[in-house]
Amino acid sequence: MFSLKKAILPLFVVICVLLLSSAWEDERGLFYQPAHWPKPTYDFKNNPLTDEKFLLGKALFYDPVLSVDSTVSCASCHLQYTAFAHVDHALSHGIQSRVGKRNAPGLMNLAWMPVFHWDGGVLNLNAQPVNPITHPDEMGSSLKVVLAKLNGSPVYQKAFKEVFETEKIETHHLMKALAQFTVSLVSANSKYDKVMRKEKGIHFTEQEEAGHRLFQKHCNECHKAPLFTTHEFKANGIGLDPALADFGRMSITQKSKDSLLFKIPTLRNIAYSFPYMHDGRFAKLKDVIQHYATLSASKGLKSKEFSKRPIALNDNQQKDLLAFLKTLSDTEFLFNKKYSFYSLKSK
Amino acid sequence: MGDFLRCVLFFFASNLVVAQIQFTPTFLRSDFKLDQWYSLGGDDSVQVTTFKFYVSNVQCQGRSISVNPLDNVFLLDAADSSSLTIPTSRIEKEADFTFHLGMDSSLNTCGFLEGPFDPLLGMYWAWNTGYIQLKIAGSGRFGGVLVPFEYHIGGYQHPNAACEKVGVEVGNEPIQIDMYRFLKSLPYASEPRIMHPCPTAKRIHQNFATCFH
Repeated sequence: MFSLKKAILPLFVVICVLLLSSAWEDERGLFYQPAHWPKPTYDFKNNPLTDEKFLLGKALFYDPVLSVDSTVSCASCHLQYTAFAHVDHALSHGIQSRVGKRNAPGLMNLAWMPVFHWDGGVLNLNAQPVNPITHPDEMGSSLKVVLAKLNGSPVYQKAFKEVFETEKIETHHLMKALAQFTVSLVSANSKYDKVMRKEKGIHFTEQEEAGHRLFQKHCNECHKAPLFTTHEFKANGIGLDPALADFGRMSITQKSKDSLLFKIPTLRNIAYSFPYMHDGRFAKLKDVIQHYATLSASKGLKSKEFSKRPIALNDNQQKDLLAFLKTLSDTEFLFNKKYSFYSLKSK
Repeated sequence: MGDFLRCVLFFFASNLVVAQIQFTPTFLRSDFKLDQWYSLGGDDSVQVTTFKFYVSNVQCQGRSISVNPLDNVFLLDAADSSSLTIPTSRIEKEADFTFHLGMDSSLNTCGFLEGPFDPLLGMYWAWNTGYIQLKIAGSGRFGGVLVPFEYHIGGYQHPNAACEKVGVEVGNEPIQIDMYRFLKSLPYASEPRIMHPCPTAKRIHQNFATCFH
């Protein structure tokens, strides 16, 4: 039976979150440094943030003009409400339903990220958009085509002229504008953060607390707080999918010791950024926990970390860990209007 | 105005010139041109359709020609003759130059996307941040068999870094790039295509560095 009470309550929560997020926008500015976090690795001096550049970058992020047939935008694979990941698809797809060989990761706290992509092949946030724009299975375009489109658009010509004081839009203008938006995606206000900050009235439940202890014992070495990643490359133990033949870090370094190593992903907003692993193999977070909890050297999978120190968790412990991981969800980030769809064309 | 005139008079009286580096690709004793077939001896001949490379850290008489290392990077493209001359603000009677053929790791990873660093120029490696330091492509006829070749030579990490220091005493003469020597050295038969950093790519770049006179 339809229950009005049940329908209104989630709506009320969403409205509250939206209102709160608006307040945050004014209070925190475009980017903020959470207390006790390390210094960002992004070079803000080379691309100082401004409201106008941020909005231009946001408009570009949501505009399919960047793809060759103007059908796919950055947001097609990076949806805000799912922590800027690509849900429902193990492997992300681009133009003409072409399927790539990796699961698009969530986007957040990129200012602290020294390397990008699952294999760490990209070293600069400013240059990262070159990859999806030019990849045949993603946007399938070229910088030449994209710049010609933008330079031929009176709306973008005007916008770039206003913020970069240029008559001609060049690669670095486009890349810096996009980075203005992506570097501003800061997520640091989950329940976990509030508990750590000892905010009044915010406490872990008993189950979350138990999960936190398990996390610190078994997961913290790779998924280290506050970013919940060390940005290193590790074997996740799922082995090679022969159809994809993705050897991860080895494709960048050419070193056999790096075979099947992938960048450790952040666990912030992990409950929202399904599916999981570089090939999107696991649809549910509980499946990932079960994988690690039952992984052992006997499976013959290449993973030094887990063969040395297996994670043995019973069913209840797995549930506790899941409860803790859900405290890393930052709904103010996920529903913040500051990061939502924006178009210059509708102005 | 008086000082300016004195400078101009001094300039002409002492045969000083604005130092510049001019690169001239040559094949034996002729100017080398893209799209033209050249004999390598016997039945072997080659035609180059693309020839581009980076030069960085140019020093004139032991001093860098630019304070900012990012301004001391040049992409030379045989298809654009104006790119083959590197101007400097130095005024010298004769100039000896040293330069890096290619870029070091800091330049490869600087994230600066303007001028010679613009990925639009077709030298940026998106899949593995860095730049192709030398791009040469074309076709060869070896014993009557047509063999297309394509070399994207790059990499900045040990042991396959493609960055060599070159020193040339040129006075005011152009620096000759001996294309006959370079084209003779390419591994057309064993590896007609190289698109990633590797020992062979490194060796090709090292050979290239010996072709500047």
